[in-house]
Amino acid sequence: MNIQSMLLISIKDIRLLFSDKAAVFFTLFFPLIMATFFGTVFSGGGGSAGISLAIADKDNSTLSQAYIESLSESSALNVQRLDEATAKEQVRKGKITAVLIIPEGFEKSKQSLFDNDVPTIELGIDPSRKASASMLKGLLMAQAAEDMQKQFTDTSLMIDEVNKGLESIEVEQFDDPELQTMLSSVKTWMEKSQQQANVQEDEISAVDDSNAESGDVEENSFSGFTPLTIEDKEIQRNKTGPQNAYAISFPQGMVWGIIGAITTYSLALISEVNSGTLGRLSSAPISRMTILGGKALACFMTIVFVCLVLVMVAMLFFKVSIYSWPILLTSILSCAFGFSGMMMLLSVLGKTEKAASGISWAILMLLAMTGGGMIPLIFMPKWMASIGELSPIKWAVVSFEGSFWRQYSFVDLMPTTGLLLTLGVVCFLIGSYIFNRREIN
Amino acid sequence: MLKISNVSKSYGDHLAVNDLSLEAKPGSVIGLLGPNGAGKTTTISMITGLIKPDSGSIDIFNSGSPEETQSRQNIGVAPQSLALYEPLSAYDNLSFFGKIYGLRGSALDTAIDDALALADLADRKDEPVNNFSGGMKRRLNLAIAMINKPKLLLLDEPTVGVDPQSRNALLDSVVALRDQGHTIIYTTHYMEEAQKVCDSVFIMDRGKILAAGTIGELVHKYGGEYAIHIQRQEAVEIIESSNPLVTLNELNIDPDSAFIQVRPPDLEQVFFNLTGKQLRD
Repeated sequence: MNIQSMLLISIKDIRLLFSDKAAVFFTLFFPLIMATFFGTVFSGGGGSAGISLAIADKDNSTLSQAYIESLSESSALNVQRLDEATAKEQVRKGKITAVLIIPEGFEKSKQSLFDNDVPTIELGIDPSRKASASMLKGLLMAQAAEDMQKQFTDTSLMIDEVNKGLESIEVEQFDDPELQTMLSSVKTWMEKSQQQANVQEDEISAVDDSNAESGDVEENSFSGFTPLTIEDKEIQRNKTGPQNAYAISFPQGMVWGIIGAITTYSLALISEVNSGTLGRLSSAPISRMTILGGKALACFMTIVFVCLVLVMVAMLFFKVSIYSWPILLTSILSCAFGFSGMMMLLSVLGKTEKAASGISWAILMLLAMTGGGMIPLIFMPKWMASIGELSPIKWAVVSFEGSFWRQYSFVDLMPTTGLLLTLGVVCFLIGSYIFNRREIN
Repeated sequence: MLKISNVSKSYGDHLAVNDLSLEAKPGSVIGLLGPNGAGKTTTISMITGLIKPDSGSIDIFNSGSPEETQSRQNIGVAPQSLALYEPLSAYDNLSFFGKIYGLRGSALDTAIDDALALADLADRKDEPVNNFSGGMKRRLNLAIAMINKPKLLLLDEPTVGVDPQSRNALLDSVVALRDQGHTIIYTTHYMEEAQKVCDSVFIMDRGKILAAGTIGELVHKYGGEYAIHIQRQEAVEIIESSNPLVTLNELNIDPDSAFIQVRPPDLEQVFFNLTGKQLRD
C-alpha cells in the first residue's frame, strides 16, 4: 500500500465531504442537534416532575399508607414505593433524590400522640444534596402536621364523641362520678385544644409556604406541636453516574456523527464508481487496496474529528467533564477504526447509490435502535439491552460513556475496544474482498 | 508499444470482446470504431487493467500487462463519463491526479500549467468544476488524462455531448498530442472525427474486429462506389457509380433542371457497409 497516495485520497475525500452541505449537516450538525435536544429533554428543562422520593414502608399500617398517599398527592414530590435496599441503592446511583423509611411502630406512635411518643421516620439522602434535603424535610413535616390535624386535632369530632359518651351516661343513669368528672375534663380540654388548633392551622400554612420557597426547615420546629421526628441518614451517592443529562446525550450524539460519516463515505464510494473517478483512479499506478485504504482513512479521520468536536462542545457549553482523556481517545480511535471498516462493508452491499443508501440506513437504524443510539442505555428495558449487546453502536456508546462518567479503566474498556477493532478488520477485509472482485468500467 | 493478442472477454453468455488483436505504434492515433455494444469500452478497460481478459494477452511498452505499476505510470485515460471531482476546482483535480501519478514540486506545477493550457482553462482554474459547461468539463477530462504526460493515451468517446467549438478544440488537441509523440487509442462513433484524427482504424462490432487499416485502405476496400445525388424539385435520386463522370455523361442531365451532388465513398459508408444500418440497443 502506498501511504502517500492513501493520504492524498483521504484528504481529497474529506474535502469532498466538507464541500457537500447535506453531508456536513448529517455528519456534524445533526448529531450536535440530537445531543443538545435530548440532553435538554432529559435534563427536565421542560418542567420538573418534582423531587424523586422512594418510600420504604416497614410499618405497613393504615396510617403509614395514608401518610404515603398524602405525600403522593403532593405535586412537589415524585413518590415511588420500593423496598429499603432497592431504594437506598437507587439513591446511591443518583436515580432517586432521597429515600423515606417508615419504621415499624409508626402507627402506634401516631395514635399515642398525647403520651409524647412522636412518630419517627428516617430520611436517607446524599449529604451533598442539602437544598433538596431541607426542602424534603419541610414537605414531610408539613404533610405530617396536616395529617395530624385531620386525625387528632379534629376537636369538633372528638367533642361530639365525648358528648355522646356523657349523654349515654345520663340516659343510662350510670352512676359513676369519677367517669363523669374525667369526661367533663376531657371535654374542657378539647374545647381549649380547638381554640389552639385554629391558631396552629395558620402557622402550618405559613410553614408550608416558607418550606416550599426556601426548603430551610428544621425538624421539630413546628411551633408548640411536634407532629414528626425526622432522623437523617446519610446515603453517599456514587459519583460514577452521569454529571448531567448531556453526559448521556453527547455519547449518543457522537454515535450519530459516526453513522453520518459512514453513510456518507459508503455512498461516496459508489458515487465514484458510477461517475468514473474510481475507474480513473484504478487505472493509475496505485493498488486498489491503496484506494480503499485511503477511503477508510478519510472515514476514520472524519469520525475522530466529529467526535472531538462534539466532546469540545459538550465540555465548553454543557458542563460535561471527561473522566479520562486517554480512555476517551482510545474509545474514539477504536470506534473510528471499527466503523471505518464497517463503512467498507456497507459500501459494497448495494450497486447503486439508492440501494446502498437504503441498505446502510436500514442496518444502521436497527443497530442504533438496539444499541442505545436512540434510547439512552440507562433507560433501556432489559430485553432491549440484551439484544443491544450485539450492536456495535452499543459498544461505541458504552466506550464513550466509559470516559465520560462510567469511570472505565483500560481493562474495562478492553472488551468493547477488542470488539470494535475486530469489527473493523473483519468488515474491511470482507468489503475489500467483495470490492476487489468487482470489475470497474 | 501496445500489443493486444487474441484477447477475449465474456459477461456470462455475452461475448463482449472476441479474439481481438491489434498493435499500436508510437506517435499514431488508432481509432476504434463501432456501434453501441461493439466492445470498445471493454477493450479500453482491459488496456487500462480495470478488467481482466478471459484469454489472450496485452503488452504495454514491452513491460508486461497493464496490471504492472510501471505500465500504468505511462497510461493516461479519459473515460467516456466525466471522471471529475466536481466540487473541487480544475486546479485541484489536476493537482490531485498529478500527485497520484507521483508528480511533486515544479514538475507538478509544469504539468498542471501544460494541462490547463491544453484544455484552455488557465483563467478558470480556481473555479469549482460544477460551474463549468459540458465542453469545459470534457476538456478538463482530457487534460487530466494528460497530467502524467503518458506515452499511451486512451480516449473513450471524448467528444460526447460537446458543442462544435469544443469538439474542434478537442480534436486539435488530439492531433497536437500525436505530433508530440503520444500514442493514442481513440474510440468514437463519429466518423468525421475518426477521419480527422486517426491514422488507422479498427472497425468493431459485437466484440469482433471487422476491418482494420488506414482510412484510405478501408474506403478503397469497403467503401463501395461514388454516390450521385440528383435532386429534381422534391424528388431525390441516388445513383451509385464507380466512375461518376462517365455516368453523368451517359445520363446527360440538364444542369439547370437538377441539383447534382457527387459523394465519394467515405468512412461512414465503410462503417454502414460493415456493420449494417440496423438499430442497436
